[in-house]
Amino acid sequence: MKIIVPIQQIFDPKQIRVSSQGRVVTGGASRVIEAASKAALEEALRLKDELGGTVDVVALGEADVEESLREAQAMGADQAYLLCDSAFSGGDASATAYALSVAMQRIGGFDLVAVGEGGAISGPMLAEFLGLPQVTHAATARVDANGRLVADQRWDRGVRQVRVALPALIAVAADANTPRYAHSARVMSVFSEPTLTVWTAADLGLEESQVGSQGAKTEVRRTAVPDARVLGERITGTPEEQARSLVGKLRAKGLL
Amino acid sequence: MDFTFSREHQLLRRTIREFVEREVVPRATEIDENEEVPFDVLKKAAKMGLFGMPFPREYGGAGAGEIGYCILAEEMSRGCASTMATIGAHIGIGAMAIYLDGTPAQKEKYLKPLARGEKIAAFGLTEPQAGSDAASIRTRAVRDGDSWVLNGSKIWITNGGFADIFSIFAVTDPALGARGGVTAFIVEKGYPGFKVGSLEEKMGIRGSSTAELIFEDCRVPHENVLGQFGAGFVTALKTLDMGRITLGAAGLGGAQALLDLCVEYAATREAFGGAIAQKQAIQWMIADMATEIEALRSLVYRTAWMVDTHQDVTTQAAMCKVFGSEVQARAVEKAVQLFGGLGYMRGHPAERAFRDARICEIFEGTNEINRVVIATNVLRKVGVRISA
Repeated sequence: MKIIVPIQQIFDPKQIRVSSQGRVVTGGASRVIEAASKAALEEALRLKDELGGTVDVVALGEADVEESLREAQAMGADQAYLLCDSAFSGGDASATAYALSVAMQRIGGFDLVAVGEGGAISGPMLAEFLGLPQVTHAATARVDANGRLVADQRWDRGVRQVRVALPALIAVAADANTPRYAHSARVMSVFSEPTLTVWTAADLGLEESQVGSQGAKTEVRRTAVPDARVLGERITGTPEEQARSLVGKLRAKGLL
Repeated sequence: MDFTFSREHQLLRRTIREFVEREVVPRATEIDENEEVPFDVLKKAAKMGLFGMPFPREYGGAGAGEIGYCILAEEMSRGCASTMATIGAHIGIGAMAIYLDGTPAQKEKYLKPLARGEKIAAFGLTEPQAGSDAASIRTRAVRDGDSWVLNGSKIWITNGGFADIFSIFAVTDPALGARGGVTAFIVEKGYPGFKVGSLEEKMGIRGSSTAELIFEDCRVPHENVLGQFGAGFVTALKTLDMGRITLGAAGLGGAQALLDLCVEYAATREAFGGAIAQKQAIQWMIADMATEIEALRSLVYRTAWMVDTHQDVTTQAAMCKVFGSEVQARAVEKAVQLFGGLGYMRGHPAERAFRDARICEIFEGTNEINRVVIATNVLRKVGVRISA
């Protein structure tokens, strides 16, 4: 089975803070693979462990995104592709998904694309550009006797099992699995392996108008930090005590 | 001059930090409270190759060198001193003796499973009458045909309670003593005549095993002589050099973890109408901690770099041990004070660190003995010889 996983690199959310003016301060923060991307990679690596084949990773970004691609390779990915070109900068979700889809078609021959859900890379957009059926909110992906992919969609009130013919795309949420740790020996050797290819927009036959800020269909007008939510009060005790307490509080506020 | 960690070592640190934050930190209080070696955590650590960090890949190691091993020690120590003590005794002294002086056959047989974490190592030198005065060991080894017969006991052996493979030092010629009369042996747990004695209860690093080892006519095959016959004391000292560097790294991690906690607390704890970080008394504590930690970091990683570039490090290794343990001790002292009553409460990280850190000034050569090592090497340059 040949699987492709797009990887998003972000600043470590634990190391960034929002200034009093509402600006995101990233100074000194290390870069990590976004949790949803890592869950998608883990889902792909599990399929590879079980069925054999390859898992290739692809990312769009600056040269330092190589660190995340190398980390993915240390975890078990095979070939890595980095889309690195000033033409790609300033792109929105659509422009990024389009460039990634073109790169995936260039890699070609894949059975499955596994993408992180709820992150910066849009699975549905990728599926549209690639013309693939998609399973969102997928977990514990496996392949049945007829060669179709089976995935569990976990919701609040149960699990829905979905079957889909390959090739297909699955979107994997950050909490779908527990990603493996890279083996230390792989970490120490992976940077010197000739398994990383860098592509520019021209390498992929892309025009500047199709990608980056020129290819973006949206524009950011304003960013804001959401207001801190006021936590509710939990009333405890026997049902009778709780009712009594609640009525007392409502009366005190003049609501009853 | 370039102080940048390689990309490999940076990724290694991120990976280990993630492991420690996810798997070790949530367990640290319980490991301490229950005096429990976290075998499930160790198993996961072995699976990601942590147990063979400095050793070459041909022996099942990660090939990360002494720098990589110091990164492991620093990061692990940030999360749990007990688990670091276990890993340190395994890699830094138990397996290290075999790596430094083992024959190719011994490395194949013993170092490989140790580096892969399939077996656990321990290092047995200390005896009841031979702590800092290690040359006074009495455990005796006598040749009998194709094997050696060991009699005696070792105390305070980290990992002693459950290790599989031991690097053991015994007297082979009492007349020569430490100068040619001590030999190192590789002893397997299952050898007849070997048994684990009492397990110690400790003030700190309670989630590590500290045991007595007893040898009663314990038969060790001749092929398990480790290093040159009669040169066991040299093997011991070379091995301890390596262990001492990582003790410095562990002190660095312990101190850094406390500084991080203190900084966060000082920024958020309010007294007299503002954050306590605004008080000069608190600022000076934080400034002193941060300065010493920065100096320690430079010493530790420069020494590790010296090892990886094949330079002699005996003096610097002793400095790492002394400075690392004392920077950590001063950080602990300040952290408990900065947290006030909170830091004195059972279960607070500063309280646990207060107990965990103390051993670092004692084990793997007391700081007094390490100062003797430093002074001997410094004074030798002007022709002064220190008599033992």
